[in-house]
Formats: sequence, C-alpha cells, structure tokens
Amino acid sequence: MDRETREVICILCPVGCRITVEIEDGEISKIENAGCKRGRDYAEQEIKSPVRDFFTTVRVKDGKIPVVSVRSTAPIPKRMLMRCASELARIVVPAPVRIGDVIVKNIMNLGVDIVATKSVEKA
Amino acid sequence: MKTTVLIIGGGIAGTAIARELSKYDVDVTLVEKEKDIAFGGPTKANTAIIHAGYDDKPGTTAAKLCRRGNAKWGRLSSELSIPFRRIGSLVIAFNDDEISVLYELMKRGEANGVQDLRIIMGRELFEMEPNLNRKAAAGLYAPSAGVTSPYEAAIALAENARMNGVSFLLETEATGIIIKNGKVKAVQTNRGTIHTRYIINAAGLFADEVSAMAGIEEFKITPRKGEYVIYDKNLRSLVNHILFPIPSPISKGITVTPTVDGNLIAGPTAHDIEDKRDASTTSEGIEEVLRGACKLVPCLSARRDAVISSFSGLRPQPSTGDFIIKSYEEPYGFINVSGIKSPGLTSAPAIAEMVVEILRAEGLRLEMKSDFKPYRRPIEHPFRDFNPAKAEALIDQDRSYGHVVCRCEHVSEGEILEAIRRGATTLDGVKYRTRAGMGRCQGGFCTPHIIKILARELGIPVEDVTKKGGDSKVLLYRAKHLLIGDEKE
Amino acid sequence: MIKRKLDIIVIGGGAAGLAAAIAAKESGVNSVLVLERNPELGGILPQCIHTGFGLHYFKENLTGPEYISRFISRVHDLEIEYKVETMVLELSPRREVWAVNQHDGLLNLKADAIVLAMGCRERSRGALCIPGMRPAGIFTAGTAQRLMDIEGFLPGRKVLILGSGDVGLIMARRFAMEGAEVMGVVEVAPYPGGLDRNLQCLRDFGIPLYLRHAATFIHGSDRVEAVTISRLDESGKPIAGEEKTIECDTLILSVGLIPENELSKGAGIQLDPNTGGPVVDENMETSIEGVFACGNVVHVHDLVDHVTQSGEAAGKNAAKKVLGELPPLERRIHLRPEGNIRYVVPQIISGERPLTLFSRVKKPASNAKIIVGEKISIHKRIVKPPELVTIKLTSELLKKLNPEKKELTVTMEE
Repeated sequence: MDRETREVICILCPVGCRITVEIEDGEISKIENAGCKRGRDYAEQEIKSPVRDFFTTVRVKDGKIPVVSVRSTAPIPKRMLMRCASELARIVVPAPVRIGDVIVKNIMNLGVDIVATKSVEKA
Repeated sequence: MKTTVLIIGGGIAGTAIARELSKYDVDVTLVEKEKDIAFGGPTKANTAIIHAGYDDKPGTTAAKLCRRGNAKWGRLSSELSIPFRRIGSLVIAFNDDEISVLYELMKRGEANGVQDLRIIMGRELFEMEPNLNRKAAAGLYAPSAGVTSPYEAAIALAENARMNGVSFLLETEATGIIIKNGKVKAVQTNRGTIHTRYIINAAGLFADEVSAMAGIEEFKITPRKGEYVIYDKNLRSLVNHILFPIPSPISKGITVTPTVDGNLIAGPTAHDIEDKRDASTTSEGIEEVLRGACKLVPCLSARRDAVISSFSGLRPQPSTGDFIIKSYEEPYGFINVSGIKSPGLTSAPAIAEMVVEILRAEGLRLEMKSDFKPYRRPIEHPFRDFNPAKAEALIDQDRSYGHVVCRCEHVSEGEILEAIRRGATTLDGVKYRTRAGMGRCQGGFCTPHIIKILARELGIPVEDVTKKGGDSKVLLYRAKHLLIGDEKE
Repeated sequence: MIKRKLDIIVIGGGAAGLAAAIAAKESGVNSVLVLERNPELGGILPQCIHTGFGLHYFKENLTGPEYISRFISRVHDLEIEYKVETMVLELSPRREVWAVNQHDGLLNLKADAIVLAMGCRERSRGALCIPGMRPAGIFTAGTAQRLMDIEGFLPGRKVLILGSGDVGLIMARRFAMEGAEVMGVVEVAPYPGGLDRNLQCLRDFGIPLYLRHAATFIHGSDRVEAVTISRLDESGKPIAGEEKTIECDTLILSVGLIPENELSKGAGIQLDPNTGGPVVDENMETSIEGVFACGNVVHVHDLVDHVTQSGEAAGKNAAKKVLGELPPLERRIHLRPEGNIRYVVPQIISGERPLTLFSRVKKPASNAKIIVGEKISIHKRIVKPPELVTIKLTSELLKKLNPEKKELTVTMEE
C-alpha cells in the first residue's frame, strides 16, 4: 500500500485551517483538521485537481493603454496556469476593448473563456 | 577636434571654471565621463554647505579660496538663479575642552579673514536653536555660512557656460594625454582625440589618475566616504542653522542642517575606502549618522519614521592635505585643480578665478568678451512657494505646467520638459533639475510618468530610458517578452 | 483661474472617493466634484488585476478593475462631475481647495463639505535606509504593478521581493506569470504578512520564503545585480555569517503603506500616530468641521469592500452635513488602543448608536477577547496583523458602557 500525507492550507476564511489529507494508493483515505465542510471539499479538490483563478494581461494595439487585464470566467487547473499565460502572450487585440469582451473562447479546451476585465478605448 | 582649453571633469570645479572662462574670448571645451553634469559623484553628494572659513588651516590654498569663495556666492547664486540661503552655522561644544576648541576655531577664522564670528552661550543659544541638545554648553556662530544645492549649482554654471560658447562633451572620458616637447598637445578620449593647448584637470576622484597621464604623480586621491540621511520636509522647522559638532582631524563631523530645499539632512561620516566607485551606504554608516544627529538634536531619535532617504558621497581627499591648484614647467599647459574636497563647493567661484590667473600667467591671452551673458534663467517652478498669480501666468503660457507629475514636490510636466530641453536625458537628470522623485515617496508615483515623457521627448523606446546613463535601464522589457521569447513582438 | 463653490469636494477618485461621491449624490446633494490625480478614475484598482475583490460587497469574486468599473459606471449614471489628471495642491482649514490641471489651469474651490480619500503611498527603499548602491531596478510593488499592468512593461527577469504582505505576494505571482524568475520573498517577521490566499502562490510557483530575514546590501552600480539578505536574531539584528547573496536584476519593495496625509497636515487636521491618518468620529468627520475622511487615508484596509463601506459612510454624512441634517455627536468618547491593539477606527464614538469598529493587532493571537471600556468583551477566534479586526458594537453592548467616561481603552486578552 502506498501511503502519503499532505497538508493543505485552506484559504476560504481567515482561520486558515491546516488540513491533513491522507492518500492511500492514489485515493484520499482521510481528511483531518478541517473546521467546516467547505474546507473539507476545498482540501479534496486541492489534492485531486487543484484549480486557480487565472488572470493576466493581454497586449492591445492602438489603445489608450498597451495592455488590457483579463481573467478566466472560471478557475482553471493549476497545472495549466503557465500554458494559458504563454498562449495569451502571443495575442494582440485591437482597441477598443469592452469590459466583458471574450478575448479567447474555450481556452486550451478547458471549457472556460478569457474575458476582458476593463475597457480600453482607441488611442 | 581642437580647442584651446580643455577642462576634464563636469563637477562643481570644472563647471565653475568653464563659466569663468566663458567670460573671455577663448575656445573652451569640457569633457565629462558620465551622462550628465554632476553625475560624477562628489558634487551631487555632499552636505551642500557654503562654509564660513574658520575650519581650514591658515595659509593653505583651501583657507584662502574658501573665504574668497564664500563672499562670491551671493552674486553667483543671484546671477545664475542657484538656490542659496545664508542661514548661518553653529559649532556646538558640550564641555569646557570643546569650548576651548571653539575659541581656537574663532582665532583660526580671524586669521583666515572671517570677520563676524562670535561665541554664544546659555539662553541665546537655545533661543536660536530650541531643539538643540540641552547639554550643549556653547556655540561658535558664523553668520556667513549658508546652504545651496550643489548639483543645481553645477548645472546652472554649465548652462551659463554653454550659453556663452563653451562646448560640453558628455560620456567622454579622458584615457590619455599626449605630450610633445614638454608641452601638452592633446587628450585622448573614448570618443577620439582632442587637440588642446591647455588642460584643466578637474577630474575629482580620478584627478590623480588623470594627472598621472600627464606624468605628474606627486599626489594621490583617496576616496573618503561620507554617509547621509535625509529627513522629510515636515521636520524642517526643528533646526534653524547649520549645526556642527566639534570637528575631528579628518572631518567637520556629523552635522544636522536644513537644506536649501526645505528638508533636514544629517551627516556625513568620514571613512577612507579603497574603491573610488564604491558610493554605497552601509548599515554602520547610517547608524553612525543617526547617532551623531541625535547627539545634536535629541528629538530626532523618535523620528526614524521621518527619514526619506540616505546616500553616500566620496570626497576626493588629496594626500597633500590641501587643494592642488597649480601649473607645471613640464608638461607646459597642464593645470591641476585636484583634491577639491570640502571646502570645494564654497571655494568654487574663487578656484575658477584663480585658474584664470594661472592661465594668464602661463601665457594665454584672455580678453573679456563684450557680449558675455551673465544671467541664467532658472527653470520656473510654479508650485514651489506657491503664488497663484505666477502659477496662472506660467500655465497660460504653456499648459503643460498645469499637469503635475511629481506629487510630493509638486513638479509639473512643463518643468520636466524644460529640464529635458536644458540637457536632462535620464531620470536622475530630470530629478536634479526639478526635484521630481526627491520627495517622500521617492519616485513611486512619478517614475512611470517621467519615463514616458523622457522617451517621447528624446524619441527613444521606453525600455531605453536610463536612471543615470550607462547600463542603468529602468525597464528591461516590454510586456510578454519573456513568454514569447524570440518571436516577433 | 477657475473659482467655484461646491457642496461637496471629494479628494481622490479611487474606491473610497467614488463610494463617497455616489453616496453623497444618492443622498440628495447635487454639486459633488471628484478630483483625481491619475489620468483615469479608479485609484489603485485598475492595476489590481487579480481576483478577491467584492466577496463581501457584491458576493462575487471580482478582479480589481471589474470591481471599480461598477462604481465608475454609477458615477457616470448619476452624472457626478469629476476631473482627472488634477492635482490638489493645498487644503485650507476653511475647506478651500487649490487644485490644478492642464485643461482648466488653476482651480480655487470652496465647499461646504470635503471628503478626504487620498489613499496611501508606499514606503520606499530610502525610508528604510537599505544599505548598498543606488542602481536602477528598485521598485515599490505598486509602481511595478502599474508599470506592468497598465503601462505594459516588464521591469526585470530575476526578481527578489522584500516583504510578504499582500502586495508583494501578488506581484510575486504576476512576475512568475509573466515568465520572470522570482528568486524569493524576504520577510523580517517570523510569520508572513499577507493573507493565506496570496501566500498560496509561493507554493504554486515554488518561490522560497525567507522569514526572519532582511535585505542588508543592494549590489550593482547601474542596475541591480544582487541583493544580500541576512537572517535576523530575536531582536531583529542581522546575524553575522548568516548572509545569502541572491543574484537578481530587480528588487521589489512591499514594506509598508503609509496613509497619504500631506494635505490633511497642511490643513491642520489632527492625525492619529497609530494609524498615520486623521482622527475621525463615528461620522467619519475629522477634527475640522465639514471635513470627512474615508478609505486608506484613514487607515490601511485589507479588503476594498471595507473601503467602499467607509466611503459610503463618509459620503452619506458629508451630504447630511451639507443638508443641515448632521447634528453634533451627543458625546465624544475617545477610544484608546492598548496592549496588542495597534489602533481603533473611528477613534471617537458617541456610544449612542451601534457601529462597527475597525482595528488591527500587533501580534497574532487565537481565542482572543477584545475588551472595550473594560465592560464589553468580544470573542475572536483568530486575529492576525494582516487582517482588519471588526468589532461590532451593538446597542446591547453599548448599554454596558459607563456613560460618564470620556475615554475608553480597547485592549485584548488571550
């Protein structure tokens, strides 16, 4: 039997429970020290398939400012963060950009869009 | 390239000499190795004091030129619009031994021709300085001491010199001197050879190295590091005069003085170092400054929160102990203006006149120009000493004066543009001409704006804007550069 | 010169100022003018492109620009007047404002009420006197953030970050996401300064955290080349022999935010040395009648949601003042922080109305009791310096207070 113990620091509330997760043969066998159910669920997700909010900037052409801030419409797998960042680094969007505009639909087939979080007028 | 008089070094001595020579009908060129005037070091990093003249050993060149120079600062600052205020100085004694030293200094001052010195004790002392350490026993008062802005002074001198025909070559470093038949022929630089009849060596920290290029190695320059701490303008009213402790054999000591810009400055320490390029601050040095400051003004110990910056300056300490301002039989045409440490700033106008006399004695015909322009307009600062009518008039002339870029010092885009017109090509160049970036946020707000203005006005990419020339680029890359690598942007 | 008289002038068009202006306008005051020094409204929010904003206020997880855009839209909907790229030069005790911009020139304004919302500035390398050379490549985190996320530049490729507060951690994440190498985050305290949500990025990107370390020398004459950091002893002094020199080309400083109160000082407004901001009463009014303050200029907040609430309170009360509907407080009870309590805002309460106090502790504690006036005790499971502590004083609790006392202590027990 292959057993491993990992610690997850919950970020959902200021308490910051240090949750211990025991993994046996690749499956979660025990979750301890979680102060609430939300924390337990969070710890489980962090171990099984950790996700993160994704946000960065995308270059803008002919805009009042040269970059527009963007975000993913939903959290993406943690391991895809840098891949998505590199993907977006290659794009230049023309001004004007409106807040909420879809910059990339279904980025890297993750079922999540990248949208602008601010508007950028033409220069 | 050919000139008649080549000045090596764009510090306070070099620029003062350039301006003085520009009164005469003679071809003068100044070379400076850094990207701007005063960037070399000592001129931009000192206590900025115009000394009364009691410190220097009577009979030395420094003693003579300090007193002479002090008297010239009123007119010089007025003609060139250099900030200058004669606020007076006090050397503070804490006990009887130190009081004896005050009397010695007074005698020394009188020997040097300083007229109005006086010892002050008791209530009068604390009326003059309410925040002075209550343990202070007496003070030597010198009303003729003052404070100025040394880099603004050098910049103003250079502007006026240029206005009157002096050529300035920046980023030009002397690498060798060509002598033929015992006479100066030319100076080799990183940008080519300049043929000249006379060389004025005002190379500050590197004056001994330049002098060696001419075969004269009778002195050595040792960098003497002095560290400083600058306090917020809110503390300006704590001190009214320049406050000195009793001097040591190597230094006038850690002063606490109001600056001409309205800050309070403490320092310098005095430690000889090896590396002429090491103008770093140290934790021991800063602690030493703070201790010295608190000794004179104890309430500063509770005001560490009001420190806005610290810096270090290297004094070019000559092994001879005095200014070296002289010509030589061989090589003919080479004039040293070396070892210009304190009271170098004070002496500068007198040094310049002395150099003119030396050149004359060396056979250079110097006839006064009929069209010498003695005045230099300052950069207008509409919001310093805020006068609404004046500010309004300036903005009417040029709207860019209405766009304030430096929040802490209230510096407008108009002033920054004027600074660039007058030669600023770097963030520090803008800073020394306008004070933008010298305030309590130390450039946190204005830096992004100033970088863009510099790029726009100089027609260079934003990434090429530097802090002070050389490799000091502020921004290294455009967005995404590291993610897209060598792909076309 | 433009001379104008307004009902309310709001100095600062960031989260606090916009909330105040909106609240004032919604309270029925018509002539409200917002003055902002940046080229755009929004304060610091437009450059805070990360999420975590609005969790309380909107019950949504928004980025900074998204959060503030809602308020900017409302400003437009309500037709609230504002001027950007406008610098306020002076505030007088008589509510007179001198401001200037390129378009109007000088502005000499008077108002029946002023709302101070200038936010804060960052502590600089100079203020810390970090020893070393003076190369290019040293930035405070907020300046680096502006350069990166508004101006579109990458300040460097090998970055060291001083300070484990939120702004520093957020920039660590941004630099990593832009492909830079973050060499580490250096923190003088034995515990990190930022929220766990932001500390997570250190683990995500494998960025070392050096606790109980300080920067002791900056190397590089033209551009940063390396920074020496030292482990500190219990008293905060560098331990000889425990140095590490880290190669980097950029040093980012996230070492403290200071409420920006130069205008307040100039007007003679009383400041609280514990916050760095004006002493305010429960109406958010300062020591000068008719001058209110809100947001980070009063004390450094942790969540913009609280800043918005602060702005709304100040704006509402400024409006009431203008409409003659803000009576003086029945009593002025001064709250004095003691022990582990660093500060309490507002500093002056009436004791007549329920309100929420905001506070910060000096050291972390768990199972703590916040004690107000020796009579009120509020339990807090966890308190940490980076997080604002809210102290809800309900009518019930207020009844416990001794009505005679002019000054009450606010302290903590574990």
